Amino acid sequence: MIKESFPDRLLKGLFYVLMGLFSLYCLLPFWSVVASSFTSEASILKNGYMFWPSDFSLEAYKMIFRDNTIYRSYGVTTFVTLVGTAMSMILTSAMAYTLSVKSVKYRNHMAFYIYFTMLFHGGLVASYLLISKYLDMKDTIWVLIIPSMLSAWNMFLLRNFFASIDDSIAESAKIDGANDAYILFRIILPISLPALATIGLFYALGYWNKWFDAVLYINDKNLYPLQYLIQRIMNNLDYVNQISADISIPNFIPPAMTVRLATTVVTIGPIIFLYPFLQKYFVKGLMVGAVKG
Amino acid sequence: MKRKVLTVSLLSVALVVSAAACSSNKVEQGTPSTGTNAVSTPQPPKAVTLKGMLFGDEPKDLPIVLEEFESRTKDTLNTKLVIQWNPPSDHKQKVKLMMAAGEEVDFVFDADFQNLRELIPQGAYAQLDKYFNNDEYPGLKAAFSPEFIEMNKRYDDHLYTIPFTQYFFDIPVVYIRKDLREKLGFSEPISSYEELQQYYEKVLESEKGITPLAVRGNGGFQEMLAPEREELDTVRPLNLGGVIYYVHLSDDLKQVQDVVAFGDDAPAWAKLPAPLDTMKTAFAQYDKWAEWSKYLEKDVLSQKDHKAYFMSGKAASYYGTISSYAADKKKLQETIADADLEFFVLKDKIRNMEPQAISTSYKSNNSIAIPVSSKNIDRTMKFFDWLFQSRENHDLFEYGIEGKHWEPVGENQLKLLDESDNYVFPGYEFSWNPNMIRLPADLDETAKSYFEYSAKEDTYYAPVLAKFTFDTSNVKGEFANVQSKADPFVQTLKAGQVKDWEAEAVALNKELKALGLDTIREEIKTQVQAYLDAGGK
Amino acid sequence: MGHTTASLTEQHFPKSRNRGKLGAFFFELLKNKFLYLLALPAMIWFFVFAYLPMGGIVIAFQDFKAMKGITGSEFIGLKNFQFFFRSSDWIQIVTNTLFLNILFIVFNTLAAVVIAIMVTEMGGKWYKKITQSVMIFPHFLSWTVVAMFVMAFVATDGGFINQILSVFGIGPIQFLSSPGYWPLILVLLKIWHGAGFGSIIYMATISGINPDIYESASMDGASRFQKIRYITLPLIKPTVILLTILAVGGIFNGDFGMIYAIIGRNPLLYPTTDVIDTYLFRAMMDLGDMSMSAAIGFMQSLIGFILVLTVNYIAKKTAPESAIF
Repeated sequence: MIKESFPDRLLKGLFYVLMGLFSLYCLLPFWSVVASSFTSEASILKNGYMFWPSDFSLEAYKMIFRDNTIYRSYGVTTFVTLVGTAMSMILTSAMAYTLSVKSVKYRNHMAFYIYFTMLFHGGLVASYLLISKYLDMKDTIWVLIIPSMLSAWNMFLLRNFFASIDDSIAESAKIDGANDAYILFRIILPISLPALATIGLFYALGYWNKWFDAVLYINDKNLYPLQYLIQRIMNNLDYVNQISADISIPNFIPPAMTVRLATTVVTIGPIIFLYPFLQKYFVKGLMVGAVKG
Repeated sequence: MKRKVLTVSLLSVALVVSAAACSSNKVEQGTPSTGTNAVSTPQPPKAVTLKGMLFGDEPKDLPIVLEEFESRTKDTLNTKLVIQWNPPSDHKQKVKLMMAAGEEVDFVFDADFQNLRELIPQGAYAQLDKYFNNDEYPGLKAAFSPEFIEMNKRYDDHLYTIPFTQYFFDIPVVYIRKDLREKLGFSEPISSYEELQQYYEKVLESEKGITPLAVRGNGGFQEMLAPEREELDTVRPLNLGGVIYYVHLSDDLKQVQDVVAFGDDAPAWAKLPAPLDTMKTAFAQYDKWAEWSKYLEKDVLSQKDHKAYFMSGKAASYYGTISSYAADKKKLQETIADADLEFFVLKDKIRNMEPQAISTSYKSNNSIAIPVSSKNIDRTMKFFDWLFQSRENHDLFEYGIEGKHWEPVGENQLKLLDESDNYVFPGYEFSWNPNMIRLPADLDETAKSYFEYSAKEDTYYAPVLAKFTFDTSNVKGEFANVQSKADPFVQTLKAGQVKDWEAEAVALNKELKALGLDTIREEIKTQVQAYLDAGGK
Repeated sequence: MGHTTASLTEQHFPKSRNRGKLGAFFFELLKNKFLYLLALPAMIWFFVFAYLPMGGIVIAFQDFKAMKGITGSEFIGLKNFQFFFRSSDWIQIVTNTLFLNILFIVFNTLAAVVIAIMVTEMGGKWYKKITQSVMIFPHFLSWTVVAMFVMAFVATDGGFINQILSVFGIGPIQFLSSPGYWPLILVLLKIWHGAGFGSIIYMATISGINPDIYESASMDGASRFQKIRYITLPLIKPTVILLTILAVGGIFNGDFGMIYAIIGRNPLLYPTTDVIDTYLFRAMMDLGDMSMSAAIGFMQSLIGFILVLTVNYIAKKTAPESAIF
């Protein structure tokens, strides 16, 4: 290793400081949400947000977990996230790879065919009719997976990653007699781990956060995903502000402030640990170096 | 429009409550109860499952209540209920989608602020006229007086809903921190706007950091400081998309003469009788609002939860309605140990509990509708008939299991038990009825007397054009633009942030005219005239 | 395939000409059969879940009535589109939408790239791991929760910023009645919310860069800054362009979730923050008309589409590897 010059070390030091500050900027509000969720409602109403629970209380969490549905919902969401992400990744990489190979003549037509769907949608009524009436997917767990299995955005991103891989790698494999299947599974995918990790993370988050499909298509309590329960709590509050001021809903008690915060903690808890686990794929020069060696 | 909640009005109909005989603690599960006395068919009808969609969150203990219901009525109704609870923000859309897809459902919660106005003309809901005032449905007959049903007919003068209400009007009040009032040297409860203003001045002067009055950003002063005057039969206000129109009728109430809109020029207003002949007098409260805005917090327009703001101890009073009194008081005392809550009733006439003080259309704001696609309309109505047959049946749904969630206190009061938290049922969309109100026994006497007052028939009167509803479908584009243009102004106005409101209203009016205000005005004229011609009042 | 025209104009060898064109098509399919097969499931999925419901677009041209459905509702042409352009504010609203979105795209991309570079340049295990994890946290806070914080910061009485300012004898600044501050505040929030998360894509791109390139640059005595400037940046350019093109498609869609949660219904801030989607929300509050909403949505897509075609055309000429089709 060549010894770093002074300006290089200075620049590196600057990066450390800036990243530290940015992390604080990101961490503090988040931390405050966590701390405030462990305090009593009275205390948060009186004192506002805090960095340390001034009056420790688990009331908000008790309230959330009072209803047993939430345990099942964790199960539903976990299943949807795992199975959904796996299915999405298979379809997306297959398609993205085809679009990235320059010898495929119609790849631009296909890309256009997909891009077009990013902008133009048939709207809620048409999708609802399709899914509930013609495909009869209401109240099945698959309705949380299949209609949202592919994201054109993720697909284009992955295609871009694949396209950035040096053509010579595939070329030389071809000369050695490898077919397309071999090239995709044994060469392209292994060296695209950072990209796959990224896209996988995006898909996983998408599935984890899914709730609107549940509003429309899930009536069976046993199939409620986690975010659906949570969004109900959060949206009730927004709703009161959206309807006309002249309408009041009898017996309506807006969710307690602490409950709103605790729901945030409860939903993001598990998924937030996925990222550190994926971080090992985001190291400069890791992949190409590994394959080369 | 305020939420008019129910009605006890038409008490004239004698209540066939046979509950006395059989209401005594027969609540153990599984005990077949004889609760229903009217239906005495020896053989139970075919089993049926009714699917319904309501709005809000499912009470945790609902399954227990449904089980009890089924066991009580196995031999009479033989009905199961399956209720889907939609999140409030999505109920409206979901009902529409289900209608578009032609899905089967037996009853849905609907209201004017949901899809009712749109779906009835499209023929989505069944006509229910024949089920009321019909001896085959004695429960419905007893609980819904013919007058009440009459006032709830809509569109083509048929009944499309089962209307629910307790009182016809939720009394607007200003809630006051009692402890603070006493601390500041006001020994008697506030009883007039003058005293209220003195209280606010005192708060500003001696309580740093406390806002005198908390209101919601998109609500503002609402009913506060509104002038109290005799209503004129010939000039009726309509509030459409944020703009107030005065419909001027001929003296015989047969012809529409003019429609004057907020912000019209002086000659237009001059056509109306005093005190509505100038904007200044017609909207006398707006100047007051501007003056009183100093009692609001500085960022009032961004206030989304003024109640929480008050509960945090940052405000000396807040705007609300009387129905939330008990709950709010409890919440305040949980948050601030030695605080206490009391209320000031805004309108003199109501404060003094005068008769004929409140105008109402007697229209319930909440209801259940039955889609025409339902195959079980009769059975659904049989269920609601059962529900209103006795207090016992009704209370099972509205309050839960007796002895577990609540216990009765006398004829028309109740005490909520500890487990009542597990059964908070939205009665307003399923079971409310003026004849079946129970008040909490521990409510203080003042509040109780106001509730009783708002349950009395002669508290209310129906003004001219009470039943008129405006149909927007011919002027949708104009309506959308006028509303989105007027809304920001109206909000700032309601929060007292507009000093020279007359000049600004005139300027706004000019802009609204470019957006189609006059088209809407003509449409109002046509529709009101058609309404009058059809014999409406 | 214009084989009909071909057979009319080329009298001599129409048949073989046809076979040639069609043949080429099938030959291409056959040659890359495995690759087309790979793409087939996704192509079918897009057909079923994106193209089949697209018929629903007709709602924008109808007076849609739920009971009559998509097939039975009456066609009313372009009437649903008119109301928006008749409104006196539409120019202001479109300007706000474009201005805010351009700010968001530019600053979020910049911030994400800078963060990705800083993180990948950092050595050290724990510090890097922790900062990297922490910076994606905000992405998980819903705008409703964020809005509660924003109020705590900008409130005139007792807001955090004004408390600090008062120490220096400044203020108070009434943020909630001064629209001028809000584009800045929204951009800062957007960076806070999304830049850390967005940088993951760039980190993944940088991880794919061949380390040999950096090594030989170091041999030649390149400084850290030079390596960033001449190696990293050019290599992530295609990704930047791709993401920008994709974002341009949505440039007419206001971020309703964010803006409505934070600005809410405070009319004093509308001059800079009222976007197409919040305007539509307000106009439809009482009407709830599906057709009019659909019309505006269609218009937003159409303009986005035209813009993307343009941008993509430029990209194809200048940086073909990042054009999307």
